[in-house]
Amino acid sequence: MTDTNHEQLERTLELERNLKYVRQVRHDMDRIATALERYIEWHRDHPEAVAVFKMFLHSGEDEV
Amino acid sequence: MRFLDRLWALDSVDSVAAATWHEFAAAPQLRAQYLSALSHLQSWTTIQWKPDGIAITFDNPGAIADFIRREAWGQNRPARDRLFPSHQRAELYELISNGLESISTVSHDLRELIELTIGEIFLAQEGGSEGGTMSSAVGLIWLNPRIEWGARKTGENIVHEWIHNMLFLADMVSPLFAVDYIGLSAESAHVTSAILHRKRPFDRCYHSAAVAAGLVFLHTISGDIQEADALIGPTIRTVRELQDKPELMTQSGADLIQDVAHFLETRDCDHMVALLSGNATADLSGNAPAEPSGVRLELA
Repeated sequence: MTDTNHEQLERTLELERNLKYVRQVRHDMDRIATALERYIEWHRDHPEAVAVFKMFLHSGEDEV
Repeated sequence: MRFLDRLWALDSVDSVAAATWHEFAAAPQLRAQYLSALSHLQSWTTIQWKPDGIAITFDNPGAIADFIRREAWGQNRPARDRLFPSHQRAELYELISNGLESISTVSHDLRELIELTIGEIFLAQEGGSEGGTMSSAVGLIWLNPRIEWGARKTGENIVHEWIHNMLFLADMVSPLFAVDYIGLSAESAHVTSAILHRKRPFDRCYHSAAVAAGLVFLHTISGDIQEADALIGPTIRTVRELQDKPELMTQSGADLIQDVAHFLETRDCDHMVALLSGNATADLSGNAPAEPSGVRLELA
């Protein structure tokens, strides 16, 4: 293999690695966006379902 | 523990901002992008954040209305009765500032993470409570402070409420629970709370275990060893009961509580300090580091 071919192969591999990384980031972002959307929609549509964590007066204990 | 991991926090904050605004924020804009995203997403409430630091406020009509609507606060008392009188405000403002300063003294990195993720500390009076956090108002801490708290207790209460906030952030980007709140509240899902020592819904106890573990860390690095010791036994019991119900947690939720369990067993505060600074990687395996070091205490 010539040096030029070798460099091209290296560049191609690097591009593929970068593309794989970008696809992974996009996949992660889609997953996170879906989770975030569900969280927000749940709280928008279920006001009765809010999780409230209170600290009690005097005892200093937490409601949880 | 994930909620003390600077890299996880930055990544999660970045994710919420990017998912909302469809672009990645430059580092100096990250806080603003995150808090504005929270304000945009939680359209039912109001976070009065400001760009140069945590806003300490004495009125928030939007939040008050939402707290009452969601029955987090009682419905019979007029909103104005919950506001601190003006002659108390300067002293209470100073108390909260000193509380934040006391956190900086113990861990500057912890204070920075709180600053990154909290937009507003809202002070208001509500009978029977010293403060609280709501899953529908991420980015906001409500406190009902008394001057007698002093800086240290104020700092502890801010950290306490901040951990709830971080668990909501964790739940936002990767759900912690495998069933909805009805399933989590079912009698069969109850476990023993680490703090109240009685049976409580699963998510309440999950939060209590994480908060208690965070306070063990805070007390230990503050030198309050007895306070830290007192939390260990009940929290380990709660964690075990939580882990006995794996069907109620996602993998993400199970991993987080395993991190809590691992910390309670090792009390490796050096590792937590490294996580806070961003100079360590989270040990997701649950195994102890090869050569644990630093503040390590025997179980009470």
